[in-house]
Amino acid sequence: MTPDSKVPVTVLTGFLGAGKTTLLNHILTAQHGKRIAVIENEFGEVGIDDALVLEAEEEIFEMNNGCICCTVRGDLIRILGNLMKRKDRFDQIVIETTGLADPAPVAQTFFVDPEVAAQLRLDAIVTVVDAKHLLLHLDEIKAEGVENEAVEQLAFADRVVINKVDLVDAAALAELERRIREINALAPIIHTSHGQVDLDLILDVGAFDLDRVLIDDPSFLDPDAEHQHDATVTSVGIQADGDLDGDRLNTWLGRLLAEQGADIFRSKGILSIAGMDQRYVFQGVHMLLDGQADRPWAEGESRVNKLVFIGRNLDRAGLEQSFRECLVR
Amino acid sequence: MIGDTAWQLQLGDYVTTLALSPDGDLLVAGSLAGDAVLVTVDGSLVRTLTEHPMGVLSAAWSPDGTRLAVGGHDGRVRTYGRDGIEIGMLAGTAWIAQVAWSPDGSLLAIADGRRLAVCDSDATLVHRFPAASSTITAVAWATNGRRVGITSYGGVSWYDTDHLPVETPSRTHTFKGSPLALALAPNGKWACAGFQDSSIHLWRLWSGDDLSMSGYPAKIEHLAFRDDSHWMASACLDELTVWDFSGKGPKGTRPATGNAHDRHISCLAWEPGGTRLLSGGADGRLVMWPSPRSVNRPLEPQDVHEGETAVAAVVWHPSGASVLVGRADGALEQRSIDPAASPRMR
Repeated sequence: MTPDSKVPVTVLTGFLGAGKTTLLNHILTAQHGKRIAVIENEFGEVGIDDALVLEAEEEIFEMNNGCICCTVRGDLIRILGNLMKRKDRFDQIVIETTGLADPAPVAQTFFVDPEVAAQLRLDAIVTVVDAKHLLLHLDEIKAEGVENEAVEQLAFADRVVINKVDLVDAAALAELERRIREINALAPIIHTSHGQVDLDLILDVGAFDLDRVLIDDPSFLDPDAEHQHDATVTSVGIQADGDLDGDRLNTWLGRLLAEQGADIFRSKGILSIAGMDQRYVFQGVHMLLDGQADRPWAEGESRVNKLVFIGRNLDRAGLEQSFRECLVR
Repeated sequence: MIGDTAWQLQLGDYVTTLALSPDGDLLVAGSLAGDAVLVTVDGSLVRTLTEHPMGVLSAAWSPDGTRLAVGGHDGRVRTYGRDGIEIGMLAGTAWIAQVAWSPDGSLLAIADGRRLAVCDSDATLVHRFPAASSTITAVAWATNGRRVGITSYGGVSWYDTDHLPVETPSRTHTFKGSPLALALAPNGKWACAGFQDSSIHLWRLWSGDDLSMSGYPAKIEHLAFRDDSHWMASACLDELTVWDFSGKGPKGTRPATGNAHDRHISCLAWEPGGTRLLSGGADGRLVMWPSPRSVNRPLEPQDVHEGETAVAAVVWHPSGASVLVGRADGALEQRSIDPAASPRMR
């Protein structure tokens, strides 16, 4: 099965009341001609004749693979396995998670299970937030050791949909965007009200495809560009000219993910490795990493390394310094 | 060796379950389209069974061959007589992917999501057990028929069924991980579970001494003991692995391995009372394997039969002279099998 024939899977996260069900109904009713299967955690009010709606009960399993943070959704493996056996082929699968769900087990399921990985591709994690209430959720003080799910859902997102923008003014929206950017500097932000999103912006976008890893040079790559809040979940971007020593890079990345993988939600990189004509691209969820040689560096293109880590308690200076030690001197 | 099609029938979708009556005369087959048929082993229809919307997932004959149980995606399980006339129905709450009759046929164990239920042969509920740690992925009766085991996250729980109702397991065999398959050695000495995290864990019954066989490249969903409990076959992706369970078991031994599939193996079945093993794969192949002569040496297939569509399920006729094969497109077929060159065990 080629990557193109794999069915894309969109994971829809967001707090209860943010508008996930509204967006889901929009996805199902919009005129796109796609056959869509929906896997829901909270049995909602979607019910479209041409769509298949299946209910899932979140079952999170730890994996015995030496990776402390590696968890998968056992229920999804079962349901997706059943779905893929059917003659009835779907063009798109949407998994709606509960409002308080951690997106990691859902994403990791696509890395860990060979049957799922062979037939389906995780397309993107789309996080829906409510323009009016997001800041309240982000600022909520949690007890020691308890995750702020709103922050986690933003940190994992490939696309952030700010819903109900009609309920706030421009200044509030700008502040909201700034706060989102502080956590997740990579995900495009989409404004909407009543869940009326241009579906091309959120479906089949290929956010997990290695040949579509794209890192622009947003301002976050410059640590002085923005006053740093004391947020514990942040994005750290590293940009460096020059070629990397492959062995040192491997050691560095391996150690980084082994030691801090539990705190690093997402990572992406486009790298220039000494002796390689092609770009090396990778992306990961916690400790699970996918990487491959990409297209050749173009004539005249400067070989610049770009990496992004989104995670908790990241030491920007330390990361940058240890990364630079992998450069060929 | 794997012969031509004697007859063929068409079900609506992926054949999820095949069960042949112990005398080999009647076959039940169900598909993900929700249709289930009761046919004679010659392929003539006895009766179309009640539909299970969204899919039939499980079927089993009672050991005496007088009762048939069928479960489905709709949370319902029905029992039938040999004429295909419905006797009773039990409504559960989740997919009924596992049904298993006790050896004396008096009780039917049903995995209803996280809860194990047992009913009698009329599908009248006898007892519903407390919720397991996660959805039950396999159900098996101890050979003495007085204990039923279920797999869920964290291992195997065993409930004694002599004095129902009971609320707590009489034994638990723990292993941190998500089990997907359970096989009991017919001699009653071993319970083996295949896990999501690329290992097989086994327990000595009933001391609970355990052993892990790891190093597989992926999850283990298919396990099958030869009738004499000498060998246990397991499938992982496209590779067959056969462990020696004679004597003190496989501890410290290496398995025999076989590679004759291009895609993942979807089902395994040993010849009843015999020494041959049939595997079916997503590559459409049926592969006939001999029992290993020694371990730690590649197994060479005796025959490979190429098919157009993925094999979903296989079951042997008790005579060893034919197999019934269900495929991913709903095709159901009987194929003749040449007698084994070596004498059968019994």
